[in-house]
Amino acid sequence: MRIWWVGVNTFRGLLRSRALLAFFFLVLFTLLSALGVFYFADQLSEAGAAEQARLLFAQRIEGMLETFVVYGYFLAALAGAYLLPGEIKSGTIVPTLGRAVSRGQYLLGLFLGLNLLLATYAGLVAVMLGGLMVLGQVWPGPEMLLGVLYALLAVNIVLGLSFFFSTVFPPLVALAAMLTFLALPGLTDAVRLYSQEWADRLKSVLTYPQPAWDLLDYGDYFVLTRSAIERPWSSHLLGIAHGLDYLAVLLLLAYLVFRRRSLLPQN
Amino acid sequence: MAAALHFEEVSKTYVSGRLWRRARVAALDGLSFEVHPGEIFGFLGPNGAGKTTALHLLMGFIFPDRGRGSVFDFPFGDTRARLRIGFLPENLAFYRFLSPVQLLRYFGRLNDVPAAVIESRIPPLLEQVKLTEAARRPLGGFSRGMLQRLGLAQVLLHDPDLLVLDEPTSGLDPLGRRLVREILLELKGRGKTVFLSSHLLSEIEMVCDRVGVLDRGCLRRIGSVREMLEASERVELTARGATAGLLDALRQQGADISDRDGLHRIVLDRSQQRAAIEQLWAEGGELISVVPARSTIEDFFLEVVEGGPATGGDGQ
Repeated sequence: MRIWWVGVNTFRGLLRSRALLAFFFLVLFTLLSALGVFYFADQLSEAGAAEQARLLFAQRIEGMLETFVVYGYFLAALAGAYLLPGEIKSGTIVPTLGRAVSRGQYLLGLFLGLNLLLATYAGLVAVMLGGLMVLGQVWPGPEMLLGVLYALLAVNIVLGLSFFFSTVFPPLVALAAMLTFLALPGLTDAVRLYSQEWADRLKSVLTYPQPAWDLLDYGDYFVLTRSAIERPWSSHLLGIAHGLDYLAVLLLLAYLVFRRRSLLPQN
Repeated sequence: MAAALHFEEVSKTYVSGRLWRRARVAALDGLSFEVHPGEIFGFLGPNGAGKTTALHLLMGFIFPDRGRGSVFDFPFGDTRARLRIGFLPENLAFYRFLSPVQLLRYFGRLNDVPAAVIESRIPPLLEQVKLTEAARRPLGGFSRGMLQRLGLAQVLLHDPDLLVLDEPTSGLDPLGRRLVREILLELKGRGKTVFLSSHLLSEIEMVCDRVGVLDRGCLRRIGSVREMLEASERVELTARGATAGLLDALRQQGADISDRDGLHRIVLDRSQQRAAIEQLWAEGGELISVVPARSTIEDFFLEVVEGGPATGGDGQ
C-alpha cells in the first residue's frame, strides 16, 4: 500500500506541473491543427465522395495516433528524468523517506505515479481520437488494442530508461545519456564504412542491451486504412514478456543505484 | 535496558569541489554515544559541527564511511526503526500542493496508521499546533513558522517512541517556542525519547536531561545538564554579618561579591572556600548557604567549544 500512496501523491504533484500544462496545450494544438482536414473530409463527403472522405479521415487519425505516441515518448523521457532529481533538489524526499518507506518502495511509488500520468494521457488521447472516429464513422478493429498495449510498453521502456539514468545523473545529463544509449546501434553504420567485420562485431555487442523494438512495433496495429499484420499469439506473448522483462531489469538497476545513494542535494 | 539510539565510532567525510579541486571534509570523526529510552537528549554544537549529518545518518539518508549505529537495535535507516521514529528535518520541504490535512493523511498512511486513527488524530493535532484555521489551505502559502508547527504535528501523528528533531524551534516566535517546550515535556512525561539538535542553548537547558557537545565532528563532552551546570570550580556562599575587611580581602583574591536584603552573595574559587568560611565565623558572621556556583549552559558551551579539551564520549 505504501507504494500506492507514494504513487498517488506523485501523480497529484505531476498534474500540477507547469511543464505538463504546456504539454497539454501542445496536444490540444495538434488536435486543433487537424480540424481543417476533418472539415475538408466532411465537405468531400457532402460532395458525394464519401469513401474518399472516410479514407482521408482514417489516414489523418492514423497519423495522429503515431504523433501522440511520439508525444508520449517526450512526456515519459522528460517526466522520468526530472522526477527523482526534483524530489531530491526540493528536499521533499526527506520527510517522505523519514517514514517507514523503503527506498525500493519509494522508487516503485514514483514509477507508479509516472505510469498513472501516462495512463491519464493515454485515456485523454483515447477519448479525443475515439470521438473523432465516431464523428468520421471510422471503426477500428480489435487489433488496435494490441497497438495500444505495445505503445504503452514502448513508452514505458523510454520512461524506465530515463528514470534509471536519473538515479545516476542530473536530469539533463540523464536525458543525454538515454538518447546516447538508444542511438548506440547507429554507431555500427559508421563503422561499417571502414570494416564490415568490426561493424558486425560491434552490432552484436551494442544491440544486446537495447530493447527489441521490432517486438514492440505498435505501428503495425495502429491501422484504419488497411488490415493489421497478422502474427501468431506466441509472438505477441514474446513481445509483451520482453517489454515487461526489460522494464523489470531497468527498475532493478535503478534500485541498485538508488539504494546507497545520498538523499541530499549535491552542492 | 537497550539504548534507544546508539552511535559506535561513526565517521563521515564529504567530498567537496570539482574534479581538479576536490577536498575531503570530515563531518564526523569517530562519534560514539548512546541515548537512553525516556530521556530528552540535547545535541549541541556550533554551525557546521556535524549535528545534522549525525541525524541524517541515523535516518538512513546518507551512509557512514566507518562505524555503525542502531535505533532500537535496528541498523540506521531500517524501516522497522523508522516506524518508531518521528523525524523533523531542519529544512522543511513539504509538497506545496497539499493542505495540512492531506499531508498528515499521506504521512500517516506511509507509517501504516489505520485510516480511522489518522482521521481521529488530525483535528486535535492541528489544534495543538494552532493550525486548525489553515487546515485545508495549500502549504504553498504557509509561512516558515506555520510549516514548522505543521512539522511538529507530522512528527507526533503516529505516536513514535523516538523523536528526532533538528532545530525544532527554528523560525518560531516566542509562543511557538513555548509550545515546543510544552510538547517536549509532555512527551517526556509519557516516557518518549527525544533526540534534539539545536544551538538555542536556553531551550536545551530548559528541557534536556542530558546533552552532548559536538564540535568539528568530535563529541567534546557528554553528561547530564545538571552535572554540567554544576561542574564549575567556583562556589557561591550566602552570608550575613561579614565585616568590610573580610569582603575587601576576598575581593582582592578574585571573589565576586554582591549585597542584597542584608545578605552577602560571595562567589569564589572552591580552593578559597574553607579559609573564607573560617574567617567569617571567626569574625562573628553567619553562613547561610554554600552551593556550587551555577553557570548557564551557554557558559559551559563556550568553555567547551572555545578551548576546553575534547574528552570524547562513551555514551555513559
